Amino acid sequence: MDRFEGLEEFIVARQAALSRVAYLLTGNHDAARDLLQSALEKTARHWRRVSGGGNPDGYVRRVLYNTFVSSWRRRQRMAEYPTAELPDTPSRHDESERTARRLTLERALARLTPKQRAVIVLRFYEDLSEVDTARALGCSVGTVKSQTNYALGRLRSLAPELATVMEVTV
Amino acid sequence: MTDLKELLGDVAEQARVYDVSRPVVRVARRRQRMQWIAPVAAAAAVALAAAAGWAVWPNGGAPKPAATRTAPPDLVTNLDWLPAQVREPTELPPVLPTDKAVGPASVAYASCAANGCYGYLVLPDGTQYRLAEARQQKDKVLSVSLSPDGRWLAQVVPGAVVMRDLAGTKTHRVPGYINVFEWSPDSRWVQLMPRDSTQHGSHLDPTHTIGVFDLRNSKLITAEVPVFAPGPLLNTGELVFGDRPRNGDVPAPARVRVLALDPRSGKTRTLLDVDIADSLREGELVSSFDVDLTQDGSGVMTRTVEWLERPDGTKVGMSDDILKVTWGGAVTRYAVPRGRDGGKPWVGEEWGLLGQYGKDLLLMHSNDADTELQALDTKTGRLRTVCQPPRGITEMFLTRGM
Repeated sequence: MDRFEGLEEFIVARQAALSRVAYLLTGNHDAARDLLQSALEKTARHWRRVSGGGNPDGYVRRVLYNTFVSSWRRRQRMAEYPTAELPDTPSRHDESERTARRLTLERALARLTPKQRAVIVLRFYEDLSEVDTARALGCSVGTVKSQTNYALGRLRSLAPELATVMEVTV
Repeated sequence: MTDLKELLGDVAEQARVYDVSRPVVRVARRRQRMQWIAPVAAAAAVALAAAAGWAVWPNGGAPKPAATRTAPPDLVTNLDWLPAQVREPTELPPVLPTDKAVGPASVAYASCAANGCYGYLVLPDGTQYRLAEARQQKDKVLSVSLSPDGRWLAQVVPGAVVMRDLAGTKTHRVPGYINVFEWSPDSRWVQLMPRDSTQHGSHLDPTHTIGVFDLRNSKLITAEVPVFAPGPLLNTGELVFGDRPRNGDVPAPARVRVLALDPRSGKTRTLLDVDIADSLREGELVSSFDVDLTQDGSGVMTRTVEWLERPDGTKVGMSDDILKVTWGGAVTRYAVPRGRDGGKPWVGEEWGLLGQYGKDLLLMHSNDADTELQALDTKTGRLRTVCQPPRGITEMFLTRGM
């Protein structure tokens, strides 16, 4: 039996959704592609067990988030420009309020630590509970709470014009 | 009103579909082939070595001698404290004892591989201790940091940071702090981040509060810091941070400005303000804010950054060589290998600077297949591997000073 049977089909089916999460985490296309590829390569090493477990999507998401967060330690002492370019500044031709707000949020997200960014994406994009977020990141619920509070506070500070958006119950 | 989920959705919509299916499957199959080949190659190597009368392992396979000193020096000027290899133990090691000294540690890591999810502490002789029970359990240690001399283990616990003297049994508990940032080179001072998220400044006024703990006198000092990301601490307890004249969001490409803030007086002094354009190559600039101190406190280490063009025409900044800039403005360049991968430098190898130990710069080298610690000899330029971290999905791996 092929050890990687079904792997390529799984990736093709799920890579659009996973691409969106990877982009939210990293904020640029090249880093998102690298993150996704890295997470899927790690998943592939255990593919027979993962696919047999019945929830390969959950597994790869956990690897995706943990790969992203654990890369921070070795990147934190690197230069100010690890891989990413900052999101574009809105041009005169791109002045819709929603686009401006989206770009503001992208800029603010880029200033969070990977763990804070991961917590924001898991809690408010993927709608995971604190318990499930803690499970996905391999940390305690208390850590999720404190990281969420800190991340939202930081976002409010970085983007005061989005303060009303951040008025969420945590 | 647009809510946060909707706005995050807008950001997510900017993603493309990154078609990585073929490279992932190709790499997986290549790895599988390598796993089949490796045992044969290893057996051949052992047979060859035996035939030649060589010992394959230094000391005939014996572990490195244990560190005999429990009172650490002020500065560690070599990398002998790093075990050559760290492997997740097949059986769970004992929990770090609270009633006896174990001596300075080398490495801390967390892994969710063979034994479940645990944090581990590794001593220079390879001895391992468990830092806590299963990491998912409530109230267990999740985040740790080791002082540069390995003597102090800082653990983030709910509502506090606890610092344990590994050369003794003393602990300091500092409530109200949720993270450990940086240590002074002599391990006397440690910088902590407070819990209160209202104290973290804004883009208009980045001033925020941090804590500096004096381990020698068991004293906490709080300080207002005028930047988002303060850097390391001097042995005087002063906070060092990089500053840069900016034109909008673009930092001046060759100016290195480093300030020191005394948390006791609140006074800031300029340590360095120099233009190093003459030391840069065409197209290079220097990283503006992240500065590492030289180990003797005589200057800073920073990285050169080169903008490279991707196939789609956009540009990406890549960290390259390491520059030492003394307080007098003298610049020395240490060449770091370029991990450029067939015209796609941003997916190739990288070398992150972890610290300086005497003549060696400790780097974390990683590529898409592996991660290892390497030492760059600043005298000879030679690069050598000094420690291999655990294989597989490691949640966290850090050495002294991280």
